Amino acid sequence: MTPHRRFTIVVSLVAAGLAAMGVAGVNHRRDVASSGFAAEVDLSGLESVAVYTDGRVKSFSSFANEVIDAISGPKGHEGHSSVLMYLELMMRPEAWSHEPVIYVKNVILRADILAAVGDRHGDTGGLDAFLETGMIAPHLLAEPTVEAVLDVRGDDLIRSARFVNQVRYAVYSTGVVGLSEGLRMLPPAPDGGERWSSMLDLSRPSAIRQGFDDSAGALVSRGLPAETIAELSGAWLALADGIADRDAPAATAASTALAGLLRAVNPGIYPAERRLQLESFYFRSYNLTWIWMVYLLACMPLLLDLVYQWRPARWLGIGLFLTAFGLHGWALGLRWYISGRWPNSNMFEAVTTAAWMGGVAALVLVFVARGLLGRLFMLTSAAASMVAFLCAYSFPAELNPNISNMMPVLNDYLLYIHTNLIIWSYVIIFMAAVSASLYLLWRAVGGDRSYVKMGGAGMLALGSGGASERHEIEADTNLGTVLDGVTMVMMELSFVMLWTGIVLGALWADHSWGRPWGWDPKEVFALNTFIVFVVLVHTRWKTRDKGLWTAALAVVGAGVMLFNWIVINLKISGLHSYA
Amino acid sequence: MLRFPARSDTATQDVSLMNAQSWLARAPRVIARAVYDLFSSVWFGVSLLVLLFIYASLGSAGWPHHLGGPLFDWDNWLFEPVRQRPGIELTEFEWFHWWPFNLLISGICLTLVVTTLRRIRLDALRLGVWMIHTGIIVLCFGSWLYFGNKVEGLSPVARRVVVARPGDGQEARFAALPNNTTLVGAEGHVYDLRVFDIEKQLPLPPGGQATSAYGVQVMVRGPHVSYPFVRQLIDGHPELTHDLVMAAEELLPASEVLGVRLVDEHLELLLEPFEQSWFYLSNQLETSWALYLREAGTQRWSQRPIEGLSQFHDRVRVPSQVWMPPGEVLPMRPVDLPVPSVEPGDPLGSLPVSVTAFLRYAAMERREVPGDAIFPTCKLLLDSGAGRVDEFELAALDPRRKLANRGFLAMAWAVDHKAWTELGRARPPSLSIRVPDAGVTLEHVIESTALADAELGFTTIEGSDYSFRVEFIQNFDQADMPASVLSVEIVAAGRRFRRWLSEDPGFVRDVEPPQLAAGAVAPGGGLQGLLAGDRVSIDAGIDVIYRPAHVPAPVVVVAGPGDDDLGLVVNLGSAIDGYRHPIVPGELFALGEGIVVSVEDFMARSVTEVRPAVIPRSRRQRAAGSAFSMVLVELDVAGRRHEAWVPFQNFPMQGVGVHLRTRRPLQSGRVLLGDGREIELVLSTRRLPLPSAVVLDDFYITSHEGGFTGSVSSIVDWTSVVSFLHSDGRTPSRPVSVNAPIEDQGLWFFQAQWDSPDSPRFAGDPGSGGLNYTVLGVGNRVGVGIQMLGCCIAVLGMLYAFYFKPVLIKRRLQSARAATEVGS
Repeated sequence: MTPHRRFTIVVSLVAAGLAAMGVAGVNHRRDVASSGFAAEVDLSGLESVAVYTDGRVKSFSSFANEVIDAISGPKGHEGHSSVLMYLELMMRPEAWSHEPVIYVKNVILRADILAAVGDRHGDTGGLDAFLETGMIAPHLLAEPTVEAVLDVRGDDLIRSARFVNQVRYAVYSTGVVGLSEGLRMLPPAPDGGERWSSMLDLSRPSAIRQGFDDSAGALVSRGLPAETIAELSGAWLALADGIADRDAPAATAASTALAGLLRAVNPGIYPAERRLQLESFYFRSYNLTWIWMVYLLACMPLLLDLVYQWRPARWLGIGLFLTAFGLHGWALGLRWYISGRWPNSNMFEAVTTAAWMGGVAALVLVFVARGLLGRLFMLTSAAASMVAFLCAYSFPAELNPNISNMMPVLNDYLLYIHTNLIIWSYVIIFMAAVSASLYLLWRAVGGDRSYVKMGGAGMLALGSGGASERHEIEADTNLGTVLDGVTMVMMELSFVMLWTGIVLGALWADHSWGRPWGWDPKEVFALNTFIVFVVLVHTRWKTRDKGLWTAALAVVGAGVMLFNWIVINLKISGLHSYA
Repeated sequence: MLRFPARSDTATQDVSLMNAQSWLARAPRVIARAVYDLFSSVWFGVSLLVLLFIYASLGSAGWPHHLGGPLFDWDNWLFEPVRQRPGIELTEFEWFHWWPFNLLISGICLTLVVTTLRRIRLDALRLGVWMIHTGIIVLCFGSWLYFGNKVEGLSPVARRVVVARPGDGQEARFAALPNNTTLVGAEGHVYDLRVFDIEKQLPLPPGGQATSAYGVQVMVRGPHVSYPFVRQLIDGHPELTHDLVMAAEELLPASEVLGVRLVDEHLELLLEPFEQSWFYLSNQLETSWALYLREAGTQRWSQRPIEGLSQFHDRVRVPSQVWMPPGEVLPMRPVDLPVPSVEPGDPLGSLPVSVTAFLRYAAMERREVPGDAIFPTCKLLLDSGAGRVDEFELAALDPRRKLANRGFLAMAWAVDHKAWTELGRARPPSLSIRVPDAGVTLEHVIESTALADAELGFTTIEGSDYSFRVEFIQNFDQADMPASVLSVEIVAAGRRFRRWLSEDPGFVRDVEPPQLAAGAVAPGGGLQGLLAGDRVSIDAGIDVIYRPAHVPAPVVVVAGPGDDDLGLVVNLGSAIDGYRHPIVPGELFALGEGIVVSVEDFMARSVTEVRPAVIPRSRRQRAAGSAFSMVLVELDVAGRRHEAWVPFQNFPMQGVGVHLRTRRPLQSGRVLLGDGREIELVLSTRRLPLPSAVVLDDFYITSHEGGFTGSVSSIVDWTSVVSFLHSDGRTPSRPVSVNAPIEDQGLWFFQAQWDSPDSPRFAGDPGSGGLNYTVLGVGNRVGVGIQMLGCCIAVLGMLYAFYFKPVLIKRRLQSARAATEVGS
């Protein structure tokens, strides 16, 4: 069997594996159909309602998503939208106190809580799924034995305190007061200052109406007419009653009325309805992270094209890649529009934006180097974007998709250039690792020691002289050479971009922190990534098996880059902890 | 290879000798050649880069450490910095300036230079490589300059300072920060001043240009007025200064209550700009400990830098110096570092001071250890049956610790077996009064107080001039107060005074009632409010002992009369009530309804010791930095050894007696010298002088839509408006905000920290509206330009090598091809 044949088989198997992964992914996030009241009630009117939180005005849907994430974990509560779940917890706390709505992330803490419940009640009946799912009812977390466990675990700041804090925050957020206080959906009156008021200021929801004084007087003093307060209060209580009484038509009507009344309070500062609806759509659609499946679909024909040179696969691959890239750009633009800033302020944004920039680089390179070389750039970009979105889709706790304000320190033009250049170089490093992995696979199945003699840009330069020269080169090159060339093109690009990005970061740090270089872990590992590529350049110069060393070190470089992006960001705090 | 000749073979000997001589003659050249070859080897350079990679990784990320539990669970791993291990103990900055790092960088630079000169011809094709290598060398040179001169620290600047001029004493200045206090005045006429409230935008009377100004309220307790009052200071408007007094439970202008603008004309208080002349180095950059000293009661701190003390691991001589957490062993690693005086005005002059122990994370804690005297103590574990076990410490003979859990638990010492029965009986409060001169003794059971019965008359002590009545009894449930305080009003020979009585002798005092204006009452709550008045000497003519009421606690741990006798007396209204139940430590005792108690760590004879308790690693806040560090300081004065644990204090500044962030009073170690002077010491980081003092003219925040909510995420930027006091005058105000530093005389000033608003943190804390101070980052930037030049040269070199060179080659190939075609 020839190396090419073996390579074809292995790549086909990889494509099949990707297809299986896609099917599994679709099943993973399949929504559980709503039923009963949840299916009947239509709260779409609330999608255009704005809520103020942490210096931002967002859609109710986006806000509810954030809160329910904090309570029930990234998977949320099946069968209910975040908005309905939020209102249910607030309006009908007694109905949910015995339902498993709080998510405990840490497995060890789950075991401890289970044991504590067992100590208290003698058995843990009905909690068998807790160890696996992490979902537990609020009333169980209020048990003294569980409280004692949380106290002890909360004292261990190294291992478990943050998980205990998450649980405590979830318990607080599940409370009626926490939910009501947080829901600042009442805009200030035109002459009433800047402060948005919570629904507790308007009137108490049914669950806590007793025992509280009506604080509408405070709203009057903030410039809201008494009749407006009365109307708002009426609509809000009608919504509360509709939900409490399981009266879907009444709740639907009240939600629509409330949305209109809230907007009418101060239309001048209320966000555009279109923006709020798009924001609601964006969060309802899992932040469009499902695009990873389109990229996956693009990867399969592009891989088949790589090994079979099959024209239908080629055009299908290109078409799917362009479709995925278009959707990707749309998701990015949507987020940009919603947040009002270029999406590059947290890990979710950095990862998805970087992947898109990788696509831009691939398309530019396609114009420089058409043919198989160009399609390989597409393949590497599709793979990088697929992994990026898959991570965002699968690990929403780590790659938190919620939109927040940019930290003040990040608000600088140099930092915009620095961070974008760095993450752009990172995605190109990843793309280089994809082609390098394919090269290593090629070598593993017996491929020869071929490599591109002029380096990446050299190959492109020589191939850009005209159609005849390009054909000459393509005719003269085998798969190993092409793969090595793609790796080298991207390695050279990332080499320059990473260094320039580091330098620009140093420039920014010098005038922001007072020193250009702080030996912070993130800085050090960006430098370490660069050192790997310096070693690659010199090793390629001195070794005979240039292709193999280049591919191996490109993969190592990507590993160091990923360590920097994942481990340093999530496990090792430093000056760049916000990045 | 050098071979030594055999003794028996003369010819071989001669040849070998010649070889050896020849080798020795050539050795320098051979070695030089080998070194030259080594430093022009690409593989050597690559090896150095790999070593640099490993060094940087270990120093920055550290080594993964498994905490236990499943191996593949991400949460069970922790990265431990190698640089912080015992024996290394370096900050990140220090690790990257340690000799191995310097050696590596020097080796890389040397290799770059030699290889470039020897192996890479300078021509158009290789110009890019030359540029990259040159850029790296220039960058390394710039970095050598930069890091070799790097100075970085923080400079806290308050908005305003309160200037206090008492008239008959020296002027004092203290920063206008919430809860900040100072004492000012001559002996016997001391003013106790405390910043009571700060209003950033205090409305001004109409008619002026400004509508509001920065206002500071200072609580004054002074010698001339018997009750505390508040002085309102308004920045830029000294003419509007006025006093406020408490009347009808609210603060009212003195002009309304007393008819005067100022209650005490002897005291002048003013607001002036706070001039900060120092900045404090950061331990995060480079370990830079310093000891600060001053004579107690004075304001100026003198520093003594501590050289050679690391910051990551504890150093103690013997285990008995500290309390260790259970299950942890502290390796004994003694340290003895002299800390010489370096500044004039050091209160100890040239007296030698040593640091003999260091604790990274500890807090002073009082515990009992076995002793000779009777002092029964125990821990009582209370299992309420609801799944919680609470622990209480009890000490039978300590009035403040004999009760716990709001009086539910108690400990008592039974001097004899008869006392067992007393413990179950209630007893009313009583006074034991003795008038020694008249030889009269009186036992008085308190049945009523003047507070409860306004008509309560005075009881005459027969045979003496004295008569008395109990004003009221105040019971407290706070750890820092006596359990019960009684006020008895005494009249004798036309004199009327009040005596405060308590089980705690420290609170016994005679007080003459304050001379208040009509309608005015002394401000303040709690014990301080009760004790308001002019303290006078104790009237020795009458002894009064107060025995508070004894209400038997529901659960009493009874020790005695023997050292091993231990029992419980229960008064819960149950069948087991009123009996002594002998128990042994550790034994579980059921009180009924699922409640179980047990007594642990019982000691009949114990002594109280205060030592630093080392906080377990798992309970240490990473962000705390050095906040919980402390050193043991020893000094010899006239042959007598003094020692004190000295806690860390951020920014020990003149005129600041509180911790900036927490507003708690400054914590210090104290040493009482033989000459009566008390020296106050704190541990901090070194300070360096600023070229010119900096003044905070204003501080403000800009916020996102919706305004500032108290959350940092609602903030867009922080801005300090500062000016500098140059020798030729004050500079114009300039804003410093995030990403927008300013320069003054070679130093750059950055917006680093701010005073965030928050609610009260402890009893008596007024809380803070924030924005009363800023913390500016201060640093120099020597060599940054050279660093950047090197970086830019390298970038240009990369672009040339990767992208221009292929074009050049292509053109040459095309030219060659064209020439070939022409030739053919």
